[in-house]
Amino acid sequence: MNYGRNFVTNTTEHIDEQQPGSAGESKEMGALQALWDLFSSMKTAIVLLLVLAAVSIVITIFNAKRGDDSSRVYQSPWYLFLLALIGVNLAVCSVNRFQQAWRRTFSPSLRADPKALKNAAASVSLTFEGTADAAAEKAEQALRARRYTVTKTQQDSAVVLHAVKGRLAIWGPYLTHLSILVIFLGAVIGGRAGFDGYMQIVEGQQTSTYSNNKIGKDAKLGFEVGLKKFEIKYDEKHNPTGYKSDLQVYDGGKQVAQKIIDVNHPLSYKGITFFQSSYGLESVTLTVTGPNGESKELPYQVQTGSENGQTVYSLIGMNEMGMAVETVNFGGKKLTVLFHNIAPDYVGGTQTNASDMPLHPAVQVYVNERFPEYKGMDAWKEIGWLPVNKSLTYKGYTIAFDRIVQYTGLSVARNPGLPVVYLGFALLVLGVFISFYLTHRIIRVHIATSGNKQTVVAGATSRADPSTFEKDWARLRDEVEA
Amino acid sequence: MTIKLGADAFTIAVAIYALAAILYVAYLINKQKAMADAGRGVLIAGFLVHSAALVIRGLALGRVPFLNMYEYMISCVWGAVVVYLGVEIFTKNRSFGAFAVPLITAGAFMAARLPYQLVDIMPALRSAWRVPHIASAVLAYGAFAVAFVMAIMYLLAVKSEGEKGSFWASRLPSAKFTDQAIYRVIAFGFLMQTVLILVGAIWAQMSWGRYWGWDPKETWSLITWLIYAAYLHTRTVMGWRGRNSVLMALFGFLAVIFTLFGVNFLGGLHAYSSVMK
Repeated sequence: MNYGRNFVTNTTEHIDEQQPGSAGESKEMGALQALWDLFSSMKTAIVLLLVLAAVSIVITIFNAKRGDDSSRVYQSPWYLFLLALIGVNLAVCSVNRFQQAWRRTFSPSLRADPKALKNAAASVSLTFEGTADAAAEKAEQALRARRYTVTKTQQDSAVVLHAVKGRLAIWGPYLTHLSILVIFLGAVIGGRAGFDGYMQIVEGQQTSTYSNNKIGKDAKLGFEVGLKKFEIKYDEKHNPTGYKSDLQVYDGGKQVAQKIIDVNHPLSYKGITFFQSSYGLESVTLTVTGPNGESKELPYQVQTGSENGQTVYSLIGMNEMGMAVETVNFGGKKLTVLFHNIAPDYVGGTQTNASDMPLHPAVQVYVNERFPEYKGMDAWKEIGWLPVNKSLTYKGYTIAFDRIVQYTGLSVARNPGLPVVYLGFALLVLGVFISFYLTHRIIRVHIATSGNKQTVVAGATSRADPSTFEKDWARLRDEVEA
Repeated sequence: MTIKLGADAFTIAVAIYALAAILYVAYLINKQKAMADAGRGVLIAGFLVHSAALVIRGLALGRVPFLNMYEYMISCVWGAVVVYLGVEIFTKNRSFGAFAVPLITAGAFMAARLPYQLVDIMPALRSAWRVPHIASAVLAYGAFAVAFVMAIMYLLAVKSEGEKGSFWASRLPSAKFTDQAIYRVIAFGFLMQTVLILVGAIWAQMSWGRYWGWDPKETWSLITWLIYAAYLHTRTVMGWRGRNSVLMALFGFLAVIFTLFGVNFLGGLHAYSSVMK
């Protein structure tokens, strides 16, 4: 690991060149220049980061107090403006520092000043018996063994070596900042060219209609999506472990795709992705069978409403009052059945319902042998709660809860900016890693002749921590003073 | 391999950590190297038992133990131990342990008191993405916690630097050294935090169809990231050192705490009262 990463140096920015021109022109240039200066400043960057953090904190608290869990505020013009300022800051800083980073990478100064090297945070002085070139060769060998790229030059009467490694580190912050701009770009593309929405499909049906959040109303997909079956998978304790929709895609009249999706495995077709989002009860079918074997199938639509923040369910019946009531007369014995309540997640006992999700539906069954003559409450007898796939009997009659028809709720989304965003993600992680875990190391060696000895002074002139050069000095010592 | 065995193993680990804490504090007080060596040995022993406890629980459950509060806490404590051991190895300094290990022990003790029984996994959480997401969280928050402890030590060191014959001055690592160490730990934490946020975003995209929804948990993890990013910039580009830098690190940790715990409070203010009974 390295200490003090050498980010691009100065706190004072770039060279300010005054252009000759008329007084009016230079005033405009002055203002533009000031703006450019502002946006190329590191102080601006830090202020913007902290302002963004502070504003976001305020928004989360503000949202919570209002019970608003939408992301609307974050998409408001002024928040986006703040993000845009950061984007401009990143872009300007990157442009400004590009030339310098390029120069440092490809054409650094090769000069070495022995006095400066001796005063460097990390340095070593050695003596060598022999020629300057021989000394240079030894030093170069040592540094090459330490994986440095070495350049030898003649500087006045001395031989000078410039050894460098880890130049990629120079570009770490660059890559990091660029990646954020790439993410922003991806987000903008997604926002402009993408959309998100919602659709419901009932088991056994197919549709091409979905509700588009961007335009605020229904739209057509251009193809049809059908639901063969919706299923909840349970574990041994009868807790849901998965919500699965068996979807088919029909394009131009024939099936072109099929997939059983669940929450973590969506379906994509023509750039549009369908995510398992919710589900519900569409209808139920019960059967009443008489003592003589005659039976009647009773389908009912399910209606959901909201009460105290909970979803409540009821059966929409076919009689004049909309109640789920049916009178049958099988084998001479009349019976009227009323399906009074439907519990979505029936567990029995005093609690009745474990949740308001339709996990284990059950209907509450009442019977009345003298309907419609006796309609009062006392004429009805409750015979129990009837869960799916179960049946109840009453005086020779069997009432069975045959099946339910469910619908699946799918999130629909198209995001053409996604590949760009993902690219930005990868670059960001890479950039952060390079910035902190690669070190740009420069060692300059100055070889001066005094008599038949060489004074070899090596100093580290990059900002890497001095302790990282210990092994390099050891190697130099081994080679040069051998 | 039962859950109870895993829980018992973790309880043993807590006891071992407590012993290690005592040894580290003793080292700080009497400066005997033998104490530090013993402390590290005991800490590593505790860490091995702790790791075994996690593995046992994982095997008993058939999945990586990253789900309920108990699992999350024991994993975060594990992460803090990993980071602390890294600090000890890279800085070659044991004094940080006198503060870090007792706090790790306290965290482990609190974790051990949480209910460890089986928890049912919501279908949405049944994804392979959960593992790298929580793993990076464990390392990020472990690192930020260790940096926080070191920040306290820095303030103590600075306060006692002038005083002659001060108890702290001769025992704590120098303020400058601690300051640099905090920077390295936060740099690691920041890399982990970046991975955490991005993996979370990819998972959210696969699961919910949007990689960023500005929900409180997401937003607060970003806020934490921004504060530490500012810290790193003040250090590397503006050359901030010492008190101001450390205060920023402390400030960042407040954001971490809120991200982990405060967000649930925010959630309570939501219209989430429709949660099932």
